[in-house]
Amino acid sequence: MPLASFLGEILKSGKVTITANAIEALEINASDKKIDVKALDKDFIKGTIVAIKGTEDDKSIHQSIKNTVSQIKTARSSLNMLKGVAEELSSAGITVTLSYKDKVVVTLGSEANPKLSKVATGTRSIEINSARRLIELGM
Amino acid sequence: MEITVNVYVHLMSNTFLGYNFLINNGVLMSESKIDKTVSSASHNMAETVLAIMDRLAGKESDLKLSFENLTLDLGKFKTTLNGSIVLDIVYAKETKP
Repeated sequence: MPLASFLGEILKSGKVTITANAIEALEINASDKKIDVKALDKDFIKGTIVAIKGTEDDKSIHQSIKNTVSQIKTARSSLNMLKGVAEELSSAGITVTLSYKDKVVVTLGSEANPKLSKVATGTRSIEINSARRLIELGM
Repeated sequence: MEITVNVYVHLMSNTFLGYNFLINNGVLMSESKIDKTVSSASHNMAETVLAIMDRLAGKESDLKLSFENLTLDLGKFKTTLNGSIVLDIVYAKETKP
């Protein structure tokens, strides 16, 4: 079972706040099979994504090109992984939303109702609510 | 290169201690499916936290997880967490022998 589905199953209610260097970075609210992940610090989110993807935050042009090629190569496998997680969430009846600046950015799981984004993601379990904010968060 | 992580746990919930007691004493081990899932999820979570910590290391960073009425349900066992865990990341230079 993927981590997200497992957390969705065991998290019944409550709030978790992640603070990095005294700055609130992430707030997770859970209630009744709904988990809202609120991004508070954009830099932390971007850094976390880089850390998870394993890419270096090197500003040189050579490294930047290398990273871009690497990101394109891994994009498909990342999307497949995300699709898998979203579909697991959906079958478990769990909804995970990511919000930033009080606006929902992406919805994963049972309450996702994609329109155009279904063409891009190839699944009904991922709804991109705000592509602009998604890019802003570096995803 | 050495990364030292000082973990301070400030959990106000006694039930969390009870949960550790149950795990350590094998009370929850009868649920082998749950164990495997918990083990796998913990491994995934640990890898993610390690990746974040690795990135934060060298910046004299700390990571604080605060819980507020966090209700967890692991089937037979339910608990509510209140409090915080601080991961204080210290970066040390490699010493030559």
